[in-house]
Amino acid sequence: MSETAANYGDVEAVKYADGAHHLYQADPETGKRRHIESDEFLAGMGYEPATAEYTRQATPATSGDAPSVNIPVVEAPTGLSEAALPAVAEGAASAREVDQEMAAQVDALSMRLDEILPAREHVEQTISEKFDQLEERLNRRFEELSRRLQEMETELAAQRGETRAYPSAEPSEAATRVMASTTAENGDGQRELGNRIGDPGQAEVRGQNQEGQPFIYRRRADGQWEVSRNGDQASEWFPATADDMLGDLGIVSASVITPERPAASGPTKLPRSEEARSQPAAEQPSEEVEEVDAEAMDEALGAAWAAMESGRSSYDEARGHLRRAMEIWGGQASRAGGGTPPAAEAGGPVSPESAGVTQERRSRLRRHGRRAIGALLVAGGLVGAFFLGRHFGYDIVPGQGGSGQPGEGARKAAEGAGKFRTEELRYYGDTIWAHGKATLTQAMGGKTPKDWQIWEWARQTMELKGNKENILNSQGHWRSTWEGARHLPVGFQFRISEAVTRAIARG
Amino acid sequence: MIKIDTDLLEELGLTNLTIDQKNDTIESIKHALDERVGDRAIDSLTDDQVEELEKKMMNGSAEDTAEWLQKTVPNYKNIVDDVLEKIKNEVKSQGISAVTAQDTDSSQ
Repeated sequence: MSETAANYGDVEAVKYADGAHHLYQADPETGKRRHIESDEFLAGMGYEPATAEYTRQATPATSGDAPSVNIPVVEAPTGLSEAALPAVAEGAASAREVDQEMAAQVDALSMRLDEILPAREHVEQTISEKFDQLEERLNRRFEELSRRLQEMETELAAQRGETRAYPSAEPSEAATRVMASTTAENGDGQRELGNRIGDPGQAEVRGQNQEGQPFIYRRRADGQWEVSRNGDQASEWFPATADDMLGDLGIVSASVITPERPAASGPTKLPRSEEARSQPAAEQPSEEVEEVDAEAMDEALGAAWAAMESGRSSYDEARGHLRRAMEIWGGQASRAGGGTPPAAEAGGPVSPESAGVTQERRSRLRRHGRRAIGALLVAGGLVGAFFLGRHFGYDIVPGQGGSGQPGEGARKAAEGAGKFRTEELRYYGDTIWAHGKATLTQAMGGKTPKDWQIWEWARQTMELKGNKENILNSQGHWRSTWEGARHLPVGFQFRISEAVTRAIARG
Repeated sequence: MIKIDTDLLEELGLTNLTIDQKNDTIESIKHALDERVGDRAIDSLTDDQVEELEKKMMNGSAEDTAEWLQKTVPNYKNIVDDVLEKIKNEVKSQGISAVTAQDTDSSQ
């Protein structure tokens, strides 16, 4: 809401509902009003805007900022009406108040920004400095750790009697000597281990064992190690084994890098056994792979055992597990470097070296394949007879002889107790399966047998001596499946073995 | 028919075992039986047979290998029976730990 507070010529003072006053001047040509500043108007009229008192001022100058209308210079207050002057003064004061308040807010904001901006710069600077310091510390720490790691590697290499072939090493002994002194835990002995690179392929590890005996080990260019125990004279050299060196160094278990596997080729694996230690390192499969294989082998053979023992499914299942075990076995042997020695392949005479290879092959076979070999033989009486055809096997599993005739073992197993009873199919639709379910339920103390138990019971019952012939006579052909037995005639008689029932009821 | 199950454990006097312990024991006996029979079989092979077995192992089928193995070690049934009997005696006299310890030792 607004109302006209006063008019002066073409200037109109308007008072709004919130108490603010504004001046508007009408364009003489278009009649359109435009807003003019009250201070400007008052100044143009020769009044001090701050007080709006009737103070005569100097003649106001007309400027571009002044209202576009040519406001006549009049003698105040004669030019303003009594009503207009207070309204104009009030509007000007209001505007000044708003202006001052805004200025104060801007100042406060500027002051706040002044406070904030330097602080941010300070923080940025601090972060930058801290970052630099941190980076420097990290670099120092990294260098320190790298140096320490290198020292530890050198110490470990020296303790293992391993020579590190540094690329910068000169043939000069003095220039390439790397020393590491260690003291045994009990302080009895000291050993000074020096890796010295003289001629290419030759290295030395010298020191004193815990019994005070000096030793010098050297590796010849051909990779073989020798030991001398004549102190610094080093005149008599004898072939040295890894155990000799480990004993002198007081190391319980370690491996010596062999020429086939130079020191720089990768991490050293500790062999698990004496037998493994005697094998060239390059031929040893990784322990991790062996572990995985061992687990897989256990799993496969365990599953084969389970399948063989339960008899709940076709022996194909056991055969599949055994085949899987064989694959694992073959994989292990391949990685272990199995193969035919060159002399044997060429058909040449067996040299002592090739005899060693054969021994090594036997050891490898024992190490990697003995469980699978054993499993195949143990299973020979079960699965073996099945997938080996009709020629071999125990003939123990009923009905698995392949010839269609139950074997001796089957008969013994089925008839072992010698207790049978005869039952018959009493009505149309009666089956051996139903009799089996009832018989097993009774044998299990009222507990419902599982399907595989009924299946196995029916299968073995149909193969009992006499039952099979009866089935043949009644059907004209031998139906080994219990599916076929469903069509046996009412009154068909068959024997039930209590031994079979008990065995299957036990699961 | 060879069965290594709870009946065998009862025969060996191992009745006061939890189900897990029974399963572990059964597995240990099976494991030992497999490995010892395997050892005995390998020992019975000539060098040429070892070489042939390794070739079959890597190149032949499981069926071929098993057939060859059972043909080459004709007394394997006796070996299996003998080894199982020894294991049973060891378990009876020294407990199952004797079997597993020996099994571990012989694998190294």
